[in-house]
Amino acid sequence: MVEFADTVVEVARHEDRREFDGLVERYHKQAYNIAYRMAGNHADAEDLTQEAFIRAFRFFGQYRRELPFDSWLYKIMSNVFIDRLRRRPKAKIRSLDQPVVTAEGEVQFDVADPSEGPEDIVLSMEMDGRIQAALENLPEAFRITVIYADIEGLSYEEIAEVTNTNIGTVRSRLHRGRRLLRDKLKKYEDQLL
Amino acid sequence: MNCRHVVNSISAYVDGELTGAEMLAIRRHLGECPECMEECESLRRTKRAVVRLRTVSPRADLAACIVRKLDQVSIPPYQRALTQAYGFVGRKLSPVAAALAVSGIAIAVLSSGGQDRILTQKAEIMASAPLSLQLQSVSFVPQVPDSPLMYSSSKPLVVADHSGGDSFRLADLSVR
Repeated sequence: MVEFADTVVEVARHEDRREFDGLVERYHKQAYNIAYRMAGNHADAEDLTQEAFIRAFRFFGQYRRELPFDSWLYKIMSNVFIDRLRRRPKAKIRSLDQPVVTAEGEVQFDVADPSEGPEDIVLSMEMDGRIQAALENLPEAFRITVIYADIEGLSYEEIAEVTNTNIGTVRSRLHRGRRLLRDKLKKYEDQLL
Repeated sequence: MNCRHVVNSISAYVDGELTGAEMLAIRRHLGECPECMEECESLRRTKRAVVRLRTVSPRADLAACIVRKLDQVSIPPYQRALTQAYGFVGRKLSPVAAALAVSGIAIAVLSSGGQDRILTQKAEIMASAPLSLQLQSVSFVPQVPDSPLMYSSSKPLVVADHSGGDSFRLADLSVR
C-alpha cells in the first residue's frame, strides 16, 4: 500500500515537472524581455529569469491553474527583483544630464545625437537605449509598474495583483512614473512621436 | 472638473482605466483647456515610446539552461508537503469545505430555532419545577469580608416565602 502511494506521488511529481518544463519553453522569452527592462542588461536579466523560474518551480504546488501562469510568474519575478535590489549595495542613480567626473575633469554623459545616424533602425536603437536608461533611473516601484503597464500591457487590476498592492497605488505610481520618464526624455520629445 | 483633478487622472484616461462618466468629463475638459490637452499628449507620447520598445530576445539555449538547473533543485520534504497541502486546500477542499461548513451551521441553527429558543425552553422548565429544584439553580456569590463570616444558626439560610407568590428570601442574619 505504501509502495503504491509512493508510486502515485512519484507519477504526480513527474507530471508536474513535465508541465513545468512546457511552461518554461512557452514563457521564457517574454519573461526575459520583462527581466531585461527591469534589470537593464543581459547578464542580470538572465539571472533574474532563471531565479524566477526556479522559485516558481519550488512553489508550483501552490499555483492555481485557473489563473494565467505569466501573471503568477511576474509576481514572483517582481519579488525576486526587489529582493536582489535590497541585497545589492545601492546602485548609484545618475541623471542623464548630470556631468560625469573623470580624471580629466567633468564630461557630459552623452548619448549620440540621433541626427548623426542616417538609418532608421540605428535611430530606433539609440532611442531604445535612452528610454531604457530613463527607465533604470526611475524608482523601482514606478519602473515595475510602467513596465507591466506599457510593455506587458497588463490592466491596473492585474498589476495590483502582481505587485501585491491596490489599484489606487498602481494608478498613482504609473502616473508619477510616466511624468518622471517624460521629464528625463524631455530633450528627445520631438523624437518620441 | 478642474485642471488639477484632470491632470491627476490623465494617465488613467490615456489607459482607458476610468469609468465612462469620468472619461467623458475629462474629454470635455481637454476640449476646452489647451494646457491639460498638452499634458495629455505628452504623457501619451511617453507611453507610446515605452510601448514601442523592441522586444529583447534571450540567448537561444536559455530555456534548456533553466530546465537543466531545475534538475538540481531539491525541494525539502516539509516544503513539498506544505506546498501540496496548500495546493489541495486551495484547489479542491476550500470551496467544498466552505460550502459544507456553512450549510451545516445553517441547518443546525435553523432546526434548533436558535439560541433564543433554547433559553426560553429552559426558563419554562424551571418555572414549572418544584421550589427545591429551583433553589438548586440559584448561585450565591457572597462578598467575603476581611474576617471570615460564620453562619451558625438552626434556621435555614434561605426561606421559602409563599405570601407574595413563589419566591424566597434570606433568613435574618446577625454577624457576631
